Amino acid sequence: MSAAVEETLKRIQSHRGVKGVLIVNSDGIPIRSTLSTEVTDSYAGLIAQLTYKASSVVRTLDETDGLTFLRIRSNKEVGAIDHKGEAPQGVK
Amino acid sequence: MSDVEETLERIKTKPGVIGYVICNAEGTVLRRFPTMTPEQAESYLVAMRRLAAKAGGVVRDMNPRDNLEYLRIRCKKQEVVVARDEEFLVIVIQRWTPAEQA
Repeated sequence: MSAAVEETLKRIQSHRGVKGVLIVNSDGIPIRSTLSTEVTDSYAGLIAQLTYKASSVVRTLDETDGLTFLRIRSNKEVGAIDHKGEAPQGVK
Repeated sequence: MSDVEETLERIKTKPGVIGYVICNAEGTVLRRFPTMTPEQAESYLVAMRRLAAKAGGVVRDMNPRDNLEYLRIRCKKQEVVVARDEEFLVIVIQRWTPAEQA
C-alpha cells in the first residue's frame, strides 16, 4: 500500500509546475509531504478545514452527492485537493 | 453590458452547463440560469458565498498578497465553479465527464 502511495507522490511531484504534494488525514494531520515542515503545518490545518466545509456544503445542496475534488486558484498558485473520503491530498 | 450578456450566452450554451447564478457583493441575485428556480439560485448563492469567503481566507492566510481567483468544487454528480471579485460572485454548475485515459 505504501509503495503505491510513494509512487503516486513521486509521479505527481514530477509534473511540471507542481511545487509540493501533501497528504492529510481526516483530522487535519499531515501524514506525508514533499514541502517543508513549516509550510506543511500551515497548509494542513487550513486545507483540512476548507475541505470539510466544502464537503458539507455539497451535502447541504444535495444529500446524495459528495465532494470528490476541490481546486483553488489564486493569482499566484493553484491548489488541488483530492478528497477520497478519508485523506484529502493537497497538490500545490 | 452587452459584453456581459454575450459572456452569459456563451456560458449558457456550453454543453454540460446546467445552471449559473450571478450575484453582487450584497448577495442579491442578478442573473440565474433560466431553468433554475429562485430558491435553487438562493441556496447555491448562500452556500458558495460562504465557501468562497473561506477559501479566500485560506489563500490570504498562506500569502497576504495573494487572492482567490476561482474555486472548483467537483462532486460525484456535478461540478460547481465559483469566481469571485470585489463586485460580483459568479457560480456556474455543470456536468463533468472523466478525462480520457492517456
